[in-house]
Amino acid sequence: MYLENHLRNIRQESEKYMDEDLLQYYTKQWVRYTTAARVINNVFMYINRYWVKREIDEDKKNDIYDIFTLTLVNWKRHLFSYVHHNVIAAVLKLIERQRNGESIETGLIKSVVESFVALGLDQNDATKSNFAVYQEYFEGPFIAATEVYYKTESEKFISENSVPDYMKKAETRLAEEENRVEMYLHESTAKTLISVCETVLVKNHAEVISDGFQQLLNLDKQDDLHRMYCLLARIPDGLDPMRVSFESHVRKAGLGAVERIGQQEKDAAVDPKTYVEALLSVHKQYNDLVQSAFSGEAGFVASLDKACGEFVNRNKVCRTSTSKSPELLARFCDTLLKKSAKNPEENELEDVLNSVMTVFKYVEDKDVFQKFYSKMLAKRLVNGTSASDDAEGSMISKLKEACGFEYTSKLQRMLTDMSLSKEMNDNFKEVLQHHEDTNHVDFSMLVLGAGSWPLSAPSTSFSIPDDVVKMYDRFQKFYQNKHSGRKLNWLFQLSKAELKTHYLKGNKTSYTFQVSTYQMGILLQYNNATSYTLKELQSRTDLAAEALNPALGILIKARVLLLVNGQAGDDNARYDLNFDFKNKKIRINLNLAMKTEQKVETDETHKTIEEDRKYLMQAAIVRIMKTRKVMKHIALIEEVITQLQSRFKPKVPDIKKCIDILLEKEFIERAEGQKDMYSYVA
Amino acid sequence: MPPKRKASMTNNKTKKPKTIPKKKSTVAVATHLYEEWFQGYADNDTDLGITPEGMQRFLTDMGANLESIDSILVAWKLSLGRMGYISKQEWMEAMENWNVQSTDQFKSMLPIWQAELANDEVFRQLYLYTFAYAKTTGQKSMDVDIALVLWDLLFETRCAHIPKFVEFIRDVRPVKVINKDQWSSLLDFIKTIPYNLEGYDSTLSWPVLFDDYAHWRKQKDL
Repeated sequence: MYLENHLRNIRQESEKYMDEDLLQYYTKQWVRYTTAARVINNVFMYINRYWVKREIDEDKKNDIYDIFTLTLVNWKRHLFSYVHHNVIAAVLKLIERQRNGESIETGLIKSVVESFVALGLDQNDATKSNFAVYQEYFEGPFIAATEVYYKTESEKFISENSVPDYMKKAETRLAEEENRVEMYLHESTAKTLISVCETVLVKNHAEVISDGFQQLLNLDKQDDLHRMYCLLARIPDGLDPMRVSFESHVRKAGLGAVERIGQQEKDAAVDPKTYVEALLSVHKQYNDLVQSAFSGEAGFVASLDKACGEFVNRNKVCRTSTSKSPELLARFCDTLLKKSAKNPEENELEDVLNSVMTVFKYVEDKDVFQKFYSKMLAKRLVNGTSASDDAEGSMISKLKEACGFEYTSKLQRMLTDMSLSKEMNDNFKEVLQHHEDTNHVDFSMLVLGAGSWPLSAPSTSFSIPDDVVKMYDRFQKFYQNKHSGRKLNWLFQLSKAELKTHYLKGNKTSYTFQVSTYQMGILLQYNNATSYTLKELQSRTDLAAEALNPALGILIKARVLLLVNGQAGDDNARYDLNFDFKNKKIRINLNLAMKTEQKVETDETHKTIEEDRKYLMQAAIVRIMKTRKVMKHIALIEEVITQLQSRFKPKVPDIKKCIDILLEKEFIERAEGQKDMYSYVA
Repeated sequence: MPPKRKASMTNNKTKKPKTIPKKKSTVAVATHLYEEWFQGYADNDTDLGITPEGMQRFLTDMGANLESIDSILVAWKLSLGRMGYISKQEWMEAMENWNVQSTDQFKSMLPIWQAELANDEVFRQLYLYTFAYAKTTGQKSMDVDIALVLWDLLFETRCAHIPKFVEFIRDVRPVKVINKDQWSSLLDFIKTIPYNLEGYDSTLSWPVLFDDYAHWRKQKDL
């Protein structure tokens, strides 16, 4: 009864106060009251332990509490229920003042909040507390007030300020609120409070914020971009519009970069190096941005990948064909791996090769890259122009890592053939030394597995000059002894020779001609006579006109031979040895490839790729149908695409053509009565 | 296993004599009749039986219109294997099968057969049969010029697609031969795709030839 009176007094007293004073009064009384209650509680410990416990256990009445709880119940009943409106209004006012930038006594709010938490008494179990009072009387109104406050503020602010400024504001506001919870609110509020703030501050303005994205990208404002990412990441699907604009921005940047090269180079062939470097610089720029501003978030990485895939495969340089990029990339590799004065240092090279792999990852037509790469690798190896075995091996293992063993198995075998050939050369030389008739011809060869090398047999016959035929026979025997049953095809069109001149009287030193085998075949004839007609040369070398004429052409141009009468290419044209031959250099390279040849070769390579793809697609269809037996048309198309994706992106019309072919060849047939279903014909 | 097979073989042997004696006189007479009838059309300079010239006479006698679907219809009904030819065996089997003994009898059957074609399924069977009948013997595909003529014959005015399709093949010459799949898909195509090609999807299972046709139509805005 005393308690009730006391509380009534406090209540009446409290009505005199408002706002902050009220809070001060309330807190003061609360502290006094609870302290007293604790003391009383200790005094009546005995009753707590026995009488109260018994009463509760026997469950006679439910308004029996231990003493401390009892005091709280009374406080709530006789004071709190009357004053809470004013108290809470005062608290909220105080918080608003703080939000407006005034400093306030946060301790007051903290203790009021604590009292609310303490008053949360569980009806059924007096020893446990819950947050019912806190949530009902404080949290609800507080959240509502917050929402209204920020709604007004944010709408006003965003209409008056730029997006980056608004984002700064929102960011600080969110941090403030998080701080507030930590400072004087109960931690359970954090989740609701922050989510309300996010909704009001971010979600409601998400569209406006996202609209500012493009401009920030254009200006490359990394900090603002990062801020935007952090804000929009807070709300569900908030990043989606950003990802979409990011993707299209990167794609445009890539296309633009490529277009600029196209303009610089005009109609001339695009330089692989500039091309690849342009692609790389765009990728690097935005990859860095993703890492720094977007924390390397997976969605943005995916957008970046998608955009890169787009502009790497479809841009101005590629025009309509997606196979241009892989070709240029392979050519770039060739320039890197070829012996050249401009070759980068070893560890630098490794970096460049790694960046090549970055572009490679985006290339759709990996089979095109493989074709060109293996052609150029073969050329490097056969001509001995590869800069370093280690670099070759390292590049191949990178490709293997990216595309699997099968993709590089032929390339790998090419390297193996090279080292085997080296060994064989040594062996063969040893054997030669045991023979008495020392030959004046140095000889070396490469034995290359026909299956792994992209080389074709010579298109012309060739009769080996007497001077070297002995060596030829000896090696044939040597090889057959070692590997009986294997057939050696001599690829003379790829072979070369060095010839020393002894016929030039004018010079003290003799010249060394680096020539193709065919040129050697021609020049060695002049050991027997000094003048031949074209017809004679043809019958002696047995070369077809297509091989003989270009070989002669270079010799004429270099004035090693002289065309004395008739038209070049005429049967009766006469070619004489030039005894007045002069040149500044001692070693003269006459083994030159024609520019036109290169173009033809590129076209041919593209053609063989087309053929290969047809077979790959047909094989895939048959393989799939063999395991599935019956399959719907669309499912089959999809499966073919998935299976071949790692090599190239098959086009639906091309797959359909292959299906047509297989239907005709009766590998598959249309299922009875269902025209969009195929079944496998065993 | 072996004994069983032997039993069945003897069965076969005994079966034949059993049936023949019963109808001996009629069958013998019929066989004789058929043979005589056959000789009337057969080209005796060759051993091919009835050749295109005899075939033409036979069809005219039957009252068939040579410039129409009739000639194929008759061939289908008689289960002929090669366009323009009837071997003796084919003749005998066909006559026995239909049990006809005179030209007039045949003549009366033709309208019935023609009427049957109104049934889509019957027409479909005839259409599918035509491919095997008309393709060059020993090859998998049909010469495109023959196919063009046949489509004209078979569909006449049945379908608006056909004249356009024929025009496409004639003008563009996308193929030299028509394969079985293209042949049989055409029937599905004209059945399921409206003349304005609405809803045609070139990613579906239509042979590429039809994709090309649709593309051509679109390009020419026909």
